[in-house]
Amino acid sequence: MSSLSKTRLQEERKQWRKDHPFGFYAKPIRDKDGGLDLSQWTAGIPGKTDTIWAGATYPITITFPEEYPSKPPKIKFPEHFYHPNVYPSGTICLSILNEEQDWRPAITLKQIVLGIQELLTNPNPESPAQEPAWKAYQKDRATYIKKVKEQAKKYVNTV
Amino acid sequence: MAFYVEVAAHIQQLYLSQDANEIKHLQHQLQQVQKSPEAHILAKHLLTSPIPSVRYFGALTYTVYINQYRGLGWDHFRPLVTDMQLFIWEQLRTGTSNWNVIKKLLSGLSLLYIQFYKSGYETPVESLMAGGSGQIVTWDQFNSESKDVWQLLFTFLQILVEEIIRAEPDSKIHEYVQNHIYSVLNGLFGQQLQCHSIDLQLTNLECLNSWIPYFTFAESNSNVRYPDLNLILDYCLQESSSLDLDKLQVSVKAMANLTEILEGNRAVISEPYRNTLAHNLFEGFGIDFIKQIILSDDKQDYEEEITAFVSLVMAYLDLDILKLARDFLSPQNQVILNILLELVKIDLGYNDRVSDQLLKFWEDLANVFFGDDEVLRNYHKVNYSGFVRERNNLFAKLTTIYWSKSVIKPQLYEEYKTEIHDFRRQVADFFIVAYELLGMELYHILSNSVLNSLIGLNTLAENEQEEENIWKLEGSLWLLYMITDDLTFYETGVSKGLQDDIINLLNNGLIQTVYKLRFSSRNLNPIIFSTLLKFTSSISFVYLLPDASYHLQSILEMLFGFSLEKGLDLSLIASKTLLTICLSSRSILIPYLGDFETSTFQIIDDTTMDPLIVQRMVNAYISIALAVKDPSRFGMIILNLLQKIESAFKVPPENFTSEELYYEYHSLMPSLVFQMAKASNLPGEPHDFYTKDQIVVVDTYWQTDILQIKSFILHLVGQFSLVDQKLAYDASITEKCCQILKSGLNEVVDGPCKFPISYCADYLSTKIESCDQNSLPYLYELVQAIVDSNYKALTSSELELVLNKVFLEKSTQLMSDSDSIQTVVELFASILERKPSLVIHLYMMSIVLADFALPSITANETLTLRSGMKFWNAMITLRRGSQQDQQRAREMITEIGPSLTKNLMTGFIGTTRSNLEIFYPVFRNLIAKYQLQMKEWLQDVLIQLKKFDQTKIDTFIKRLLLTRGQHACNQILKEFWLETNGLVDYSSR
Repeated sequence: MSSLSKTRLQEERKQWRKDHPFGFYAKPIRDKDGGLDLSQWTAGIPGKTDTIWAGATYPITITFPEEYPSKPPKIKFPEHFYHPNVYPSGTICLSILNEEQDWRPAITLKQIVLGIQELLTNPNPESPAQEPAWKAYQKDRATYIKKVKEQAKKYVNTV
Repeated sequence: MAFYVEVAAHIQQLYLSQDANEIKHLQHQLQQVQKSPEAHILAKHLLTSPIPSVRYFGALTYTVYINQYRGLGWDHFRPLVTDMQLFIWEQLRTGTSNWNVIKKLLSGLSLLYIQFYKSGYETPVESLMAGGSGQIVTWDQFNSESKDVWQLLFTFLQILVEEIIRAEPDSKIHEYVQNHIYSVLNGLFGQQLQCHSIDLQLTNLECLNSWIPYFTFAESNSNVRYPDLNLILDYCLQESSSLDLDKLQVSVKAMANLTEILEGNRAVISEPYRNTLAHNLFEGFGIDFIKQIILSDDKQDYEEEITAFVSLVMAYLDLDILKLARDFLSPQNQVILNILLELVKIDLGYNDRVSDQLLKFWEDLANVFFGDDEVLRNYHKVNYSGFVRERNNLFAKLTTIYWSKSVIKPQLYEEYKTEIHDFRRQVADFFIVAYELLGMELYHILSNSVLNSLIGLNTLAENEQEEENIWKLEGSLWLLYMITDDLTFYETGVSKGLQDDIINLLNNGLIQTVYKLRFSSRNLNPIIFSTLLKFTSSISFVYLLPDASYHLQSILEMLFGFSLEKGLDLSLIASKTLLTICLSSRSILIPYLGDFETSTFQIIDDTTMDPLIVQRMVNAYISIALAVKDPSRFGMIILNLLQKIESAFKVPPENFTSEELYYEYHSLMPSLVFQMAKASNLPGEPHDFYTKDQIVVVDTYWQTDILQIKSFILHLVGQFSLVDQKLAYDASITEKCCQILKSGLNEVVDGPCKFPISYCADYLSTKIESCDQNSLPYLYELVQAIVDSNYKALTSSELELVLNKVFLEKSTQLMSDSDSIQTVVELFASILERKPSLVIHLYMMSIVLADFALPSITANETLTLRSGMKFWNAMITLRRGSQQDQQRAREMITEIGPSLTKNLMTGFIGTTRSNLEIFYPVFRNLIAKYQLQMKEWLQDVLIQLKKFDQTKIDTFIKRLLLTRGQHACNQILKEFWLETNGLVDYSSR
């Protein structure tokens, strides 16, 4: 990992620990030797209250590339996560995570996770990433709601 | 004049009105006026109004005008600067100063500075000091007794840099700021060192609070450097060291500034300043602050002050944390660490910002001890063990303190729920790294703590037990869970000592004792059980050990018990835990198959049970049954389960309170068969699971299928999705049935759900006649799965039979629906990618091309467009095609080329910017493979479109073809799209 990338990630970690939104968690994983691997993080995105996503915390993995922050991190939900803007692989399709679109090096981890939380509730119909959720969201809202609620049970808050 | 009066009246009405429509209307009108070329004249008039809101609007109008007419030169704006300055001074002189109005005007002046810093307005502060006289007064000539005047200048200095940061202008401005403004800031501050006015001190510090991040901003955006901030440091140090209660807010701001400098500009902190800071924090002021503020009875009222102090302490310690770790035994550092330990010990209740903030420092320190162990080992090679002993003593003390703070106090739980969980998660992170240092010693302490609590719970009657004891147990168990979960992240082995500790907990009745609390008269918060469940899940590696396996009975009882509770998240957590344990320890659970059968059947019968829990239970049950490795017994278990599901599916509607519940329950049955199918698949490679002989036995059993289980499953699938009209037209039922049929397709060893292709084909042929468009994607996915799993053996004629049924006979109906078009195109694209010969020579391909693939590329929906492009890319490149396949593809493309190019070009021109990338590869593949034809096709299409002259067409085609389909093609296409749509590529500017 480049020193620029490392410094920035240390700063992100520091800022996160200093101030992060309630109900979220994010931390670098430990490598096999017990040391911190700053390029790989795990995090949890709570569904917004009073929405069909509420009551659960959705796990994501965040992989920061060598070129971070010039290039954005890659963020994934578990495979086959049900959401119109999540690819079957779990990769999230969000403009602020796209180098060609709205990614800027100044975007913080906090902004990213809040952006993902917002995306859960308000999918972007212009960027379909998977067929089932996208079609249901566009054309069969009752099925969409039912499936989202079923999914929420799998990630029910365990605190 | 009447106009100004009218505008002023509108402004007043805007601030008074409660009517949203009126507000919107007034806003619109006023915005129009503010954008007019005469807005600056209006602004000047409005500023003379006696009404503050009108004056403020006047100041705002200047800002709008400056932004709106930024192309006008300095000569135009110079009189405005004078007017604004005169107004500001007038306000101060008459004592009618409204700081909101003044700040808005200062903001306007700042915007003008950003525009004209090198051509007329180089010295805005000095210009303001001159009082609007047009003369320049340098800071060393300036003197004033007026507090307001000083406040004005520092406010201006603050707003100036704030606007510069916001505007992100070109880097040159930073040189001008350093040469013309920073010197003023320094000079004025020099005069302020003896200032005693609290208001002014606050203004000064606010000003610095904007300048400190500006230094970092300027350094990272230009070659300007600020290596010496001594005057600012002196000022902040001086103002941060007062314990005068009336001036505490000044101290807070000064401390915040120092923290910001330490975090962002640490290079400017020289050794003497470090020493001064250390002295202030850990000897003089700091000790007094702890005694008088942090330890005071009113400490809850000083949250902001305490936070500022601790942040400064942490920023200081972070300056060289490696050195601190290396020399932590030095007398000076021992003093510091002891102070910190004392700070952590203080009980500040549930909003304990001190220990919360310091936790981050301790975690960092532990990471340094762990991560830089080699450096430290070399440094302390004479007595490394002594160094480690002292280090561990420190962390043992810390873990004890933080353990105690993480124990839940139920009476406060509801009020501080989020804070508590957040804090506990951070404590756990600290324990995880502390475990790397303390190892089993820490695990052992936590285990003993659980044991002690268990003894209390086991020996005393319920009314004699202290609830506190339960929560201590929970606190320790939570930390044990977090450590264990982290340790097993990589599935590496754990130490014998750790296993022993866990077994010891089980031997001492951990599961039974805590589970029993569920039935006590206390209404305990379910967190205790949630923690127990998570711990139980994290220790699944011990269940395979002989010493622990006999605890499985009680663990299963608990898990069944919780799983069967209704309407609680605990049941969801318990069922997840159950499944996790079953999947990781299936062989050891075989003796409990009878229990699983009883519970599974009971739960299937329960029409009110959460569907997810029933599904997990079936999966868990069959996963264990598979581990029996005796196909006859496994077959019987499957048969019994299927019969149970069948009888549940036959439960009549009269048994339900509503039709909705009836269908909900019936919809669960295909999901249960699917869970059975999933659990019947081998968990890994066949040879890791079975011996060679076992594989032969299993294969033979299922090929014979003496119990006719496969037929039974197909019968059930038919029952689920073909008989009842409502279920037949429910796409989610079709989805589950197709999943059942797909589940075994890739299995190497035969099993209950590895169906011959003919079975799937029969189902597809029947099902296509009784479903709607929503089911189509699932049926086509099944076809796709058949191709993917059997493409080597599958023949074109076998597949044709299926496709005739699901596609050809329905093609007229399908082509009228855009979703169906996408589904069809996606299927054929995938087959072409996998094995083109399966379809390329079929008659139906001409229909696919003309009636599905062609329209798909002019579709508005991105998914359809993507599938269409996937199809054409596969068709053009035909990567896995033989020579005959290639020949056939070429014939078809040549024939359809003009129409393809027409649709491609029409679709491309009309698509959105975000979809351009989807089009590029097809253009490139066509150019690379059909260059000559493509030239002709493009010519014809572009002429037909009648949008371009011939020269443009020729140039575009020439440039395009010259790329030979290489990456440069994308840019040419993009430029063409932009130009055709009259757009500009901002991203490349």
